[in-house]
Amino acid sequence: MSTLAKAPLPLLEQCVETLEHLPEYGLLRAPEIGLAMVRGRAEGTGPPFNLGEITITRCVVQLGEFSGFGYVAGRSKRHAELAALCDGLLQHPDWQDRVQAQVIIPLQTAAQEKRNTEAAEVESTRVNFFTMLRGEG
Amino acid sequence: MITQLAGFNDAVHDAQSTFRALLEALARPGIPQSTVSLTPPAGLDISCAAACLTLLDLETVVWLQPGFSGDVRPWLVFHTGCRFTDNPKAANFALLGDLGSSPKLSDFCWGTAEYPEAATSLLIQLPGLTGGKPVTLRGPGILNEIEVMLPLDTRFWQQWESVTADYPLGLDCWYFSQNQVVGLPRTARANFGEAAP
Repeated sequence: MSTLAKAPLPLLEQCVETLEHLPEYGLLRAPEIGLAMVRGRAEGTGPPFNLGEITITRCVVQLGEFSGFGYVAGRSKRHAELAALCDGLLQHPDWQDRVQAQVIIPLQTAAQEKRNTEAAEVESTRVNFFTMLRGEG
Repeated sequence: MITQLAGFNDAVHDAQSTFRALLEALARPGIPQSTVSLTPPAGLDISCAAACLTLLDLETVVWLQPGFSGDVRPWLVFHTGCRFTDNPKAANFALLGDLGSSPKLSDFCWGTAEYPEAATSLLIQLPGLTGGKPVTLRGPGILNEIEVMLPLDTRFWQQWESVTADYPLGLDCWYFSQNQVVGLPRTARANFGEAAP
């Protein structure tokens, strides 16, 4: 779900296109845009506080007996629908393996590559801070 | 369990037209209004389902009469996100399907003198909107008087009389059958033949 939600939309479209002859599906909940409060904790352990609101688009599709859920950040209704569709297909025994191979794996690979590139770019400007130890006494 | 049924076909416009129908129903007591069509879960009428989708949301507390089919609750939760209560007094809306086994009208919240609008609104599903004993209604929104033939028993109308006696406190009701709705606001005085006219 996280892979689908975080994937860039053009890449997700591309991957879904490779799945040919998609089954018919209905919209149980048409894509809708709303707000959710993001909460945080100072240093990860402090008391929770409201960090701010985030725009969220959600969608639920119905594929036969399966319901696929899609929650994505932002206002892209298409993204939410595709994410929900893939989630539904992943529950479908006939589609599971194909979606895993043609959508999830490529998206994960792309995300990993992006992370590696960014890490490498940041790495070149790394500054190491040393704590100066004071002399005793 | 997740419902398998969709809600409104056109969420915004269907909710708006249903809201208008519900307003008209209360503004003109006794005159049936039509609502949009949708596929309701088993046990709910079309108009009642449309009213639920229109009126209920995350902030409303609903008392659902036990006896509704098991499909109704998940459908309401999925499409409206409403919360449920077992205490009729705590409910903003009460959904009734069988008046014979329902609590007395006095068991619901009538509002307070400061906040009469905090009363429970009753969504009552009936087998039909005609076929009962004729009852004459009077009050705001009614020109002279209007006769309704809702299939309600005398016991109900007696309770209604006590509900309307404490105006501005009281209950507002909608009666649903198929795709029709009739409103009975707390201002409507009923003459059911046994009380003095």
